[in-house]
Amino acid sequence: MTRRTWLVLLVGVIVTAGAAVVFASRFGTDPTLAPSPLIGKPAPEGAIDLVESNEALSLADLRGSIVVVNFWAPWCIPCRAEHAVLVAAAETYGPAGVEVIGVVYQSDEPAVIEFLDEFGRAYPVGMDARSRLAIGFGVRGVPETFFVDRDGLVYGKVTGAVDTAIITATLDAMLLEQPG
Amino acid sequence: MPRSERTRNLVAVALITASLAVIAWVLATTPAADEDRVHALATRLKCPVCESESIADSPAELSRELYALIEERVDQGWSDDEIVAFFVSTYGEEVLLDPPGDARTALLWVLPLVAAGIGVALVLGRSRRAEAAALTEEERARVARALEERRRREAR
Repeated sequence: MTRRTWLVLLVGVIVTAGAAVVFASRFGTDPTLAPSPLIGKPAPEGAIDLVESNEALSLADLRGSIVVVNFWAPWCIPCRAEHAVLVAAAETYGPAGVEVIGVVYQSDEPAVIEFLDEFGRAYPVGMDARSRLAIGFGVRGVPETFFVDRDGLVYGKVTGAVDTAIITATLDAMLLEQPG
Repeated sequence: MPRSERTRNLVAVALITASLAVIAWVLATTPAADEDRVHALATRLKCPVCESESIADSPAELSRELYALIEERVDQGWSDDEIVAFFVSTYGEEVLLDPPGDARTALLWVLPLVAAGIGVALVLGRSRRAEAAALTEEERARVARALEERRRREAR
């Protein structure tokens, strides 16, 4: 073999090894969860004003539970599709200590109530004054959903509508790590 | 170049440099008004829902909320670094319109300086060569004589 062939082989081996390292580093992480600088960090504890109620709800109040924080808006089309998935998750996982909360993003309360009348209520929904909780979570648009573990740390994030597969897989994994 | 002309040029360059240094010193040492700080910070941070607009320039509702949040944090006495760190902690480093100055982005910062240095060296080298190629007094006199002779010949 000529020297040039050896060089080409060497470059090929290095590139293949680099690609293998990159792929291997992704093993063990759920590829459907989106990246966020908040993963593994404490979730923001800002309060939301619950709709159809005079009460406020803070994530700090839910410490000890696994919390699914869903940012949504009545004008958001994918939010309509995922609403049924979140309702089912709240009903299925509620007894295991999972709380689902809906945080309304840039919308007004009458539109939210109209949406809930049409699509149903199964978990607390609150208004986010001046988008402060959304900013705390680094929300860029809706829907975005965050999973917060029992210690108040952000476990994962989904950008776009959640489906049954990802919500089930994520909550099952969290319950396995923190059965409660 | 005659010596007097060179001296004049040097004095002019020194005066301009000194003026710029005074302006820079005044700007650097005068504390910015709060509203200037807010605007400067909003100019450094990227609107998270836009292509490449700053929070200051974007009309998006989220940007207006972020601008208001910067105002609030400035009023509360947060430093510029603390405010920027908060945005990075929630939106990631892509919220910075200028890349941060660390080891990973060192090349981005160093390369323009290297390119500018090479440019300055090239210009200086060329001007030195041009200076070296300038005519001596004796050659100037010969050229002047030749031109005078040609003018006289043409006048006949």
